[in-house]
Amino acid sequence: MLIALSWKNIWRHPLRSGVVIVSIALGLCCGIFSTAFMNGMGRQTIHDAVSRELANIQLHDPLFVEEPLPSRVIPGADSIFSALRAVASVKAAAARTRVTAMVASAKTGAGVTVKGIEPAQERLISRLPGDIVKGTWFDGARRNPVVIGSKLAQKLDAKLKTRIVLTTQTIEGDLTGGAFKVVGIFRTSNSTFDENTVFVIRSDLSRLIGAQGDAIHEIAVLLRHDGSTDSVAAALRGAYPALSVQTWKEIQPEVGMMESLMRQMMYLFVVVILFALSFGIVNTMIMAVLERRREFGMLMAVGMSNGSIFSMVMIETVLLSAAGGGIGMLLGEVAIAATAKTGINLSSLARGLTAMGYSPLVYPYIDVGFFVGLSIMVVVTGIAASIYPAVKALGLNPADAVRSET
Amino acid sequence: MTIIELKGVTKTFNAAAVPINAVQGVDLTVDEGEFAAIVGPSGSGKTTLLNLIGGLDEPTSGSIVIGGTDITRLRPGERTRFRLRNIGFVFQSYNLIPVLTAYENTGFIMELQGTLPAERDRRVRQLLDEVGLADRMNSRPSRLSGGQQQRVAVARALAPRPRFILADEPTANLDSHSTETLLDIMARLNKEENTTFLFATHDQRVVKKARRVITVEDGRIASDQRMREEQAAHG
Ligand SMILES: Nc1ncnc2c1ncn2[C@@H]1O[C@H](COP(=O)(O)OP(=O)(O)O)[C@@H](O)[C@H]1O
Ligand SMILES: [Mg+2]
Repeated sequence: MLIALSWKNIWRHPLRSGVVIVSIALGLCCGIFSTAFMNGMGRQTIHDAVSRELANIQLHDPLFVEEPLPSRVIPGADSIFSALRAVASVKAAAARTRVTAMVASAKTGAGVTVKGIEPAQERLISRLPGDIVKGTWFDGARRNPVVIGSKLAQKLDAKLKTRIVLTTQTIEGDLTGGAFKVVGIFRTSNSTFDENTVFVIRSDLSRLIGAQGDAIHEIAVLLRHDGSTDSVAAALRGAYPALSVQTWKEIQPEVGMMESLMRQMMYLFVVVILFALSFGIVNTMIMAVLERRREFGMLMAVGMSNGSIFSMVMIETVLLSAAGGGIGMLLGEVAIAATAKTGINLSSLARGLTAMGYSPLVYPYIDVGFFVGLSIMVVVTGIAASIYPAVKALGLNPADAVRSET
Repeated sequence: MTIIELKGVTKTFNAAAVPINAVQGVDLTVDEGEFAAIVGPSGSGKTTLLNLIGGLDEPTSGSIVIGGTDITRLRPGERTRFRLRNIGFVFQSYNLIPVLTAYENTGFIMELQGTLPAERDRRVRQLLDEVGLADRMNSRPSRLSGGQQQRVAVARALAPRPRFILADEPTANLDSHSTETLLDIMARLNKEENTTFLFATHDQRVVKKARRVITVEDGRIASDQRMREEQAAHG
């Protein structure tokens, strides 16, 4: 009964209630869409990191994780690699030689991570070959080819065919070096990665560090579904207890943290919007209570309990908020659905974004859990906004209020 | 049977610079089935007295016993519940709920009491019929005349069969014809259902219909006259 009455009360002033509902709806819709937009950016960054650098899971010798010495290879890497590729949830895998090195051109030098890879294998696991802006991804059989990032190329003043020298340690711990010729330059959305990572052929690097055959320090595994990362990692830990098995979140905690930070930011953003809207709601409800003084007086006089009067005001406020919230969420969802497939192209702003590690194409996204959280927050806002008006209603004196003008 | 009994009731308002004794040492007894008017000039304390009897206000001193319960000893929440169960109110300005129909307004207090829908429906239809508004059941107050609204208000007050009905200036906003109709309806319901009515009024049309006239002056009862049936009927 109270619910039906409260709902009818809202429509006493269709225009006034309508304005409040529309403002809540618009506020929430914009909030949801911006949130989805930021979320999409963040997810893109994570996706980029996973699809270019990290893959879902990486296996190493545990000692290599502590300190990446060239001697710390994965024992029995070949058979592990074959076994991994046979697992159904694994989309692709790549076995890499990995060392830290000094790279030097005629101009200057820099510290980098050198990944010795098999170009064809890497194509299956990483989108990096698609990010080549000059030259190729190891096409043609030159000796000691190297692919570097554009940022590093700039720093070294290196162009295609420029010779650069990599200096590193051998497996025995001796100093070694070799000349490599730039055959490709890539540019990704992450300029730090572009500055710090260079790629060479696995056998070239293995030879340089004096390994017999290919030295495998790292096996990267790309899964068919990102969602199964944790469960597959757990299974691999069981299967290879002697190896270190890390998910992308463990390899780069800052990327994983970004995910939870983003979630908190999203909620904070919406809380701020709802907080601002709540003033409008409180104001409307105070007006609604004051202009119905006589009616509240009557209700009290005939014996409606304080609890019921409080509930009536509260339900009315919550319904008002929920109506706006529901419409806002619907609109927000529509806006997300309309842009989620094709993405929003920010290429005009892309330079700045790329420097920050963002991709120029943004796919707005919000999960269902956020909407559930949002619904709860809308209801809580309604309840909070109703307290002052409800207290105001209870403060009326029935004997005076029944005789008042309104 | 006595249903209202006031003993030495005084109400002093201290809001102004000088305390106002709105009601001073009133002793009053009302029996079941009475149709009584409290009359007196404006400011004489009629409304204050009615508010005290209705438990909307507390006396400064004295006791108010209704059906054996001293309502001055009830806690606020208990008093609210007591009003809901025992007292019907009719107000000068009708005070219907504008978003509810005549039917819903009439059943409103029964709904607050938690009466079963079937019983409520029967009672509401019966009363709307009694007050001559069976055909306006689904109209909202804004589509009813003042007289019709006040008839709905009377039906609403009577629906839960309260011990008595308090009406403060119920006809003050009505024209003579509406007043006549309303008074006839109330007088008939008073007889048929043996419901006690207590009015505060300075409307001579109401005074003429009353079977007991309690005159108040300066917060005191100046006279208390019972009319015989014929006298009341013929004025
Ligand atoms: N809430 C109040 N505060 C102060 N004085 C009041 C209040 N209510 C009534 N009075 C005073 O009490 C006296 C009686 O008022 P009231 O009972 O309304 O008279 P009536 O209904 O006969 O016109 C008046 O002098 C009025 O000013
Ligand atoms: Mg009065």
